[in-house]
Amino acid sequence: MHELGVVEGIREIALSHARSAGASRILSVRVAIAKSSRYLEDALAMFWDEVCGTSEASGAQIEFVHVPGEWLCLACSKSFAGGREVCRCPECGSQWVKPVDAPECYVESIEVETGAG
Amino acid sequence: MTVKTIHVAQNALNANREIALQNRAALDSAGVVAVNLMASPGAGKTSLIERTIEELKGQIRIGMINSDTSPAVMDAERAERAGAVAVHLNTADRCHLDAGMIRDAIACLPLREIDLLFVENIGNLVCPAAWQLGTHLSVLIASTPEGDDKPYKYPRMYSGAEALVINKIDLLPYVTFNVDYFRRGVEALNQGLRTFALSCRSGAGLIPWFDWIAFLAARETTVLQ
Repeated sequence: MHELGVVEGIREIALSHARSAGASRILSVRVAIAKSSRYLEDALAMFWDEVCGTSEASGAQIEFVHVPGEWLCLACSKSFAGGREVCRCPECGSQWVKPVDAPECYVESIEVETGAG
Repeated sequence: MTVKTIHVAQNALNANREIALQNRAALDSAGVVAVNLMASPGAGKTSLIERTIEELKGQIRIGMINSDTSPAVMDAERAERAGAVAVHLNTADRCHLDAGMIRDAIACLPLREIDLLFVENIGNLVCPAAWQLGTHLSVLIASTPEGDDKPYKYPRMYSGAEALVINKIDLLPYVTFNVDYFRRGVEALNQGLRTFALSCRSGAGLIPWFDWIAFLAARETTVLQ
């Protein structure tokens, strides 16, 4: 269920940027998500409509773009790109690997409708 | 009508972090030291809070924000009976607390009448680690019946804590818990982590914990940043 909180965060960020730009409505939100992210895209999408409610984000589409996830091998210290399924270091074969603690899900851009010409 | 694209590039957790900073400012201005207590279900979060309130209520004013995934208010009531001012947060199936919930909860508390605030997070060794609340310190409670492998299985929880409690040490003769193996796992993740081995049930080891909590409550909150 932590995706619910993440989606609320995405909505807040989108609303604050839309309001600063004087937008009347948000048409879409583009979210970049690391392939190694703990957050499940399906679950984020599932909660999206629910959290937008009657705000300016109501009806907005949520789109995902995937960015590579970075992993670190704790055995040989090599870092490598990979997704959630990674369980072995490609260099030394160790299973002692962990995702690098980088932002794994961020709002890349929003598309808005403004009243002014 | 014009359609335009706004470049944002902001971490999805930033919205939570902003609220956490506001919570911290509210706590600081009221002089409240807040401790986020995290653990698996049944590790003894409420028992430790209860024992601490009973011991320290003559010295410091303690508040408690309890959370559970249901309306079950019994833990907040236990804290109240022990002598604290408490509020219950029903997260309605959510697996962790977030900063927005804490903002709502502290609005219900008389902050100026509290020196130390315990925030009892949802019993969970995964999700709470990712969410800043605005508290000053995070304390993780492990308990011996859970087994000695938890630092290896839930590293993020152990690496993010400022102190560790090992509860239920009175059960060590009856459970499989190799203290050295456990400590090696903790040390690899969080070197020199302040650790209290104790039993809320027997009372063993509680004095150093009480002393530390009383010490924290007497600090200027800015020292804890």
